Formats: sequence, structure tokens, C-alpha cells
Amino acid sequence: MDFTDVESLVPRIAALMREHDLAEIELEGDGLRVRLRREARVGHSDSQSLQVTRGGSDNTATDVSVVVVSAPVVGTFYRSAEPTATPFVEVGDRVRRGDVLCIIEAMKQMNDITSHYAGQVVAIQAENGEAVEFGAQLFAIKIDG
Amino acid sequence: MFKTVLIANRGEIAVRIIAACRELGVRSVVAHSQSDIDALPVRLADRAICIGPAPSRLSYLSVPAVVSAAQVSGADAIHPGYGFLSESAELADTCVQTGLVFIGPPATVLRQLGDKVQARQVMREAGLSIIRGTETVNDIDTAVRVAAEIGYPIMVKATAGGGGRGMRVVENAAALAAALPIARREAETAFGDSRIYLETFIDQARHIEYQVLADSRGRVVHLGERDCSIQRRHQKMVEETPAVDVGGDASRRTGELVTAAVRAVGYVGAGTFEFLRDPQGRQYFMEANARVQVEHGISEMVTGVDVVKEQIRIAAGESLGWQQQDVAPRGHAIECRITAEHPKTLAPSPGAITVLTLPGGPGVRVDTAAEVGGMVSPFYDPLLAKVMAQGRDRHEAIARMRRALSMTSIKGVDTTIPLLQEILSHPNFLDGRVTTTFLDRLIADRA
Repeated sequence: MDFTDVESLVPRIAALMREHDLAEIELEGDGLRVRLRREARVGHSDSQSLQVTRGGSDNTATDVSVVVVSAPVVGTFYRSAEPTATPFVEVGDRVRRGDVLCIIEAMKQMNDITSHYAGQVVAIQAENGEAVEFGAQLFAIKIDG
Repeated sequence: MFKTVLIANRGEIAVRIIAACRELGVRSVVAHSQSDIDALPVRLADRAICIGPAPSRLSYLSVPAVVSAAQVSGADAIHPGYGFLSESAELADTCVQTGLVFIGPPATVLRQLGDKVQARQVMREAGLSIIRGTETVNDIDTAVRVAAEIGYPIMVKATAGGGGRGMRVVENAAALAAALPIARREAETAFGDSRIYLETFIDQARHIEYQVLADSRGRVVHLGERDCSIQRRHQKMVEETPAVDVGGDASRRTGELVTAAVRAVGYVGAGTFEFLRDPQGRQYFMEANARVQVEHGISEMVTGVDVVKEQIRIAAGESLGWQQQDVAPRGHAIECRITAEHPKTLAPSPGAITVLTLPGGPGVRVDTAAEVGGMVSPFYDPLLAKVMAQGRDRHEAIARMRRALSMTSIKGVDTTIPLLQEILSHPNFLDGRVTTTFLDRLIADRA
């Protein structure tokens, strides 16, 4: 597993956890320790938090936390409010708590999926117009602080 | 015929519906909860879609989740199986509004039969005898007054009830007054409807039911009667067809009356009409189950009619493939429900299945979704497998069932196999003298 690219690391570890139904995982390599914990919260999007500890040149560790936003309902994933509109978020965008990340259409109802965290979008893991199931991973957000 | 059917259920009935879809050349999509992600039906279906977390309320009982899953997977129809949303008028309505087909009766019929007080009235008008009982009773004073008119013991039942849940028997006015608030609360929890009604409790009765199939063109057949008297707290454990003490003219007459009632209510699809048969041979309508039932398999064995395939065909607008004169039951069939419960205490026994050996051989059928490594989840029904045995006559069917159970081995969880074997060798069962209180008494006597 490549530990140099945190952004691609998150979805891969998260997929691994889902596959083996793990609640928590800790991996170490390339001077990096990664701990990912899944919290299933009924009625809310299932979020996963990742703590990455990177051994810096001065040997002081920096903490990076990434959360995975997953689909709280089964439906069709849309990145924008209407087909011609610009997407709510792009990779690299900063989001605040409560910002709309995407829409999931279920039974003609448009469900706004909002961010529970302030931070930076580091990955978008579903395609516009794609059918997503409950629990599907949609976004990875690097949490501020 | 449909191209794709979404199955909004789990366990053995999901596998059973996948089997029917496959034989019909229909694509199957299983809607499942997060905890069933590794379950057999999820792997057997052409596609699986996770619709919510483990609690049924947020997955298998969620109309928006089920309908949304059908839409995103391109399904034409939803098969609800039994339990969960199988008799949900809300799901049936939503299907119509969203251009999907609900594989079951129309919403109006579901509402009519789902309201047990209304169903009793409709069936009485259609010519069936009903048990002496009341309308919905709202307060204790009224309940005590009307109870005195119909006579004790009395069965307190939920108006929106069914499937044996929320029922209790009381012997006198004091017990009734005590039971009523509890029954109302139970009904509210189980069905979201606290209405209660009362019925005379018929002791020493058998539970007899008729399997019916009706298409949208008014063709109706019944597949004869099943005897499901062996129940624990109104949950069936052993079923057989035909019933040991019915048959002949009485049975045919009831069959004809049921067929007429099916037409009268505009019923479409597979369903079951349940009766109590008293020691004098009188049959009283209890309730109609507007869905495929757990025990449909034994009727399939003796008649050769594939109930689930017919159900799907009917929903697709096709004519019933059978006429009453073509339905000629052969021999006798018995079903035993093996559940993950302790054979003596009947305490639920969730866990991982470590050993699973299932029986086969002449006249034996097993419907199951159990597998080694599979989990019996505390979230759902503890049914592990339905073992069915058919013979030339009842004697041979019983011998085959006992043989089949003796060749079954399930480890990792407790199972009811020892209790089922005890029932199958009980003199009252062998003589065909069991009533609906048989099993509860057998368990109570042992305790």
C-alpha cells in the first residue's frame, strides 16, 4: 500500500474496512501511521474518521484527520442542483459545516447531503448521475485543525 | 413479463423468489440491509443494493428506501415476500404512483383485509362464518359489557393485527380490564394502531387455512387446505396438507366459499384465508393473509403449482395457468420450521453457523438461506430452514420428515430440531388429534 498519497489512501482503506466489516484499522509504513475508525450513526450519513500521523523531518508528528461522507439513503447521486449548474464542490474546495456537498434523489425527493465538518474536499468517490446504495462512499474531507 | 424484479426481503424467501425469477427469465435485484451484505440471496441475485442499516425500520420496512432502490436499479416490479412490507398498502400505493408494479393485491384490498374488523364484516357478507366478536372497542367499560354478551374465554386482538402478533386470551372481566391497556400498547408498538377488538376464544380448535391464487381477470383457484395447528404463541412451527380431519365435502364447500369471497373482495395474487375449526367441524373465518406465506411450499409439493411463479405471472397481467379442476393434490406433505431457538426454553440463539448438513432424498425439499459461516442476526426472524417432506399418505410423510430431520445437523446455534422430533413422535400428533393449544401445553408441561 502506498503511504505517500494520503488522498488515495483514504478510499482504499475505507473500502478494505467495508469489505471485511472492520470497525477500526491501524496501518503503519513509510513513516506514517494511519488509524481509521467507522462510526455508524443511524439516520445520519455514516462517517469515518481517519487519523494520519506523519513523521516529519524534524521528527515531530503532524495530525491529519480525514472523514469519509457516505450516502445516508439509496438513490441517484447528483453533484449539482440541476444538470447545467456548476457542481456544489470540487476536489480541493473548502467546505464549512452545513455546506451542501451533493444531492441524492430518492423517489423524486431531492435530499441535500451536507457536510458535518469544516475542511477541504480531498476526494469525490461517486460519479454524477450514478445510483448509490446506502453507505456508499461519496466524499473524503480533510478536517481543519 | 417483467424484465427486473426487486426483492424487498431477506433469508429463505428472498432465495425462493430469486429461484422463481430465474425460472421465468426475470432479472432479480435484492434490496438488503447493511448487516445482510454477505447473505446468500445477496450473492445469488443478479444485483444487490444496500438500502439501509440493520434495524428493519430503516431498511426492510422503509417504503422510500425500497422504492428508491427499485427505481435506481431499473426494476419494473417489487416482490415484498412475507412479513416486512408484504401487506403494506402504503407500499402498494407508492408503487402505483411511481409506475412500479407491487406483486400483491391492490392497496384497497390490503386496507380492507388489514383491518381485521372490516375483514370480518366483508367475509360475513361473502358468506363465510365468523367467530362471535365485536367491533373495535375503545374503553374498558364497553369491553367488559360486550365481553359478557359473547362469553369468556375471550381473545383480545389488534384490529390492525395479523400473523399471530398482539393476541391474548382472558378468562374473566378482571383479566380483560387488566389486559386491554397492555394489548392497546402492544398493538400501537407492533402496528402503529392501538385499536382492539374481542372474539370468543375457541378452545380445542384446529387452525385450517386455504391457499388461493387469483388473477386480474377473475380466475380463482384454491390449493386445498393446510392444517397449521402446531403453534407456539400463535407462531406456526409444523404445518401439513391436507388437514388430517378435513377433506371431503366440508372441505370442498369451504373451498368454494373461499373462492367466492376472493372474488367478492376483488382479491388478486396469492393469499391465504385462515379459519378455526371447532370440535364439531364448524369452520370460522379468522383472517386473510394477503401475501405468500411461509408454508406455501407444502401446497406446491402436493399440487405441483408454483405459487411464487404464479404470483409473479399474475402481477405481470398474465392469466392464471391453472383451473380448479386441474388442481389435484397428491399425497400428503408436512413442513417443519427449524429456527435458531433453544429446543426447551425457545430462547433466541443468534450466532455463527459452524456446521450445516441439510437433508435430501425422496420426497424432501429444503428452503433455506443458511450457510456455514453465515450469521443468525439478532435483528431478524430466527428461521433457519424449512424442511418439507411429502409422502403417498400422512404416514409416509411423517416417516420421511423424521428421517429428514435425523439427517440434519446444524451447529453454532441452538435449533428447534429436538423439539420438532418430539412433536413428530407425539401420540397426539400421530393420531391427528392436535389443536392450537397443543404445543404451548407441551412446552408448559415440561417446564
